[in-house]
Amino acid sequence: MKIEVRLFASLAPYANHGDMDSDGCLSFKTPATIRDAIQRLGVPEQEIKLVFLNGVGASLDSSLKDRDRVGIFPPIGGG
Amino acid sequence: MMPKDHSLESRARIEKDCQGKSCRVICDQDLLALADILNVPLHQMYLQSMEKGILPLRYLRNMPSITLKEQIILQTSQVAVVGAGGLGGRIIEGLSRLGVGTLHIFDPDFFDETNLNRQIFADQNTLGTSKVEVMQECCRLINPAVRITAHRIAVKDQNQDALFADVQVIVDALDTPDDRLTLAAIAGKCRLPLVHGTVAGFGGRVMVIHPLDGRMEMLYGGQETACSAEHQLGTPVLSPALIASFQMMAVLNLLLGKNQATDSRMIYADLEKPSLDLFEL
Repeated sequence: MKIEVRLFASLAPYANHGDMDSDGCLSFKTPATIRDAIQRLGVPEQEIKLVFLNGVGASLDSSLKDRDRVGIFPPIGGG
Repeated sequence: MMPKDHSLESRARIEKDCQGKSCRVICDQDLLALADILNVPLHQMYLQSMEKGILPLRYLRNMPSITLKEQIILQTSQVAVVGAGGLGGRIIEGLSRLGVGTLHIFDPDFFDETNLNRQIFADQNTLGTSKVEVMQECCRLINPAVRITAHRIAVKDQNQDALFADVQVIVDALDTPDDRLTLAAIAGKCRLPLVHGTVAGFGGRVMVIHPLDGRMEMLYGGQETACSAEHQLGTPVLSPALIASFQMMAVLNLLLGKNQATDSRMIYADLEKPSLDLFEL
């Protein structure tokens, strides 16, 4: 399955990973969760504040299916 | 000699709006003069004029995106802006130009050199002076029909809810997690919507938080282990300018009850990519 992973703000550099294709997608041959996706990209869990699956709040344990869209945010607080 | 006519009607003239529709307008100078002659507070003079269907000329270019009826609602509205930094300064300036009748603004800080990169009223002359006092003075010149109460204090205590007794909307333009959580608790206590905005790098987030919906806790609750993104990316002027505009739009929607005023989705905008996404939290 192909999963679109978007890493926002200070997490964006983690998307520069060899496993990401030109569409910003990761491929999995076996069942996976959001945690599996971010571990593959090397995003430290403690840097994550908000997790979205297909635009809706989710957890790192959420299971993925083909063509899911994942959004990951760090804490943001500037004003 | 004929006695001078001190009616609003006598000072009105016809102008065309951008769609070519005729409307009666009156200029600031006449409103100021009439307020003085008739001994009426200026904001009341503006209101009386609009209620007679005479639009202050300063709002002509708002039409028809903001109608005369909506300008009247704005003139009678009260909004609190907490934090007068990169976001807050632009929001206070913008709400003044929009004609929101009363603004309560809060910030204990003074302008310093690190504010010059993004804060709209930070300049060589205002360094070292109180942010809210500078804004009160500048915005009085921008729109004298807007009454601004400047509070040179931090909002750090849930028992400060009396400060928000008369407002319809609170704007979160703060920059620390604890203060944002306190403000959300106050907004909950007052049963008021809170327009949250924050920035990091070339992006930022906006979300309307409804009373006691618990979503500020989702954004800022819990022991923070990660460095907040703005400490890694900075806050150049582009993102506060963008996010402040989204916050002002949310304030307008809430005050005027339009454009899905109840929509509480999180907007994340990134100028660098560029991208704009909506999320449900």
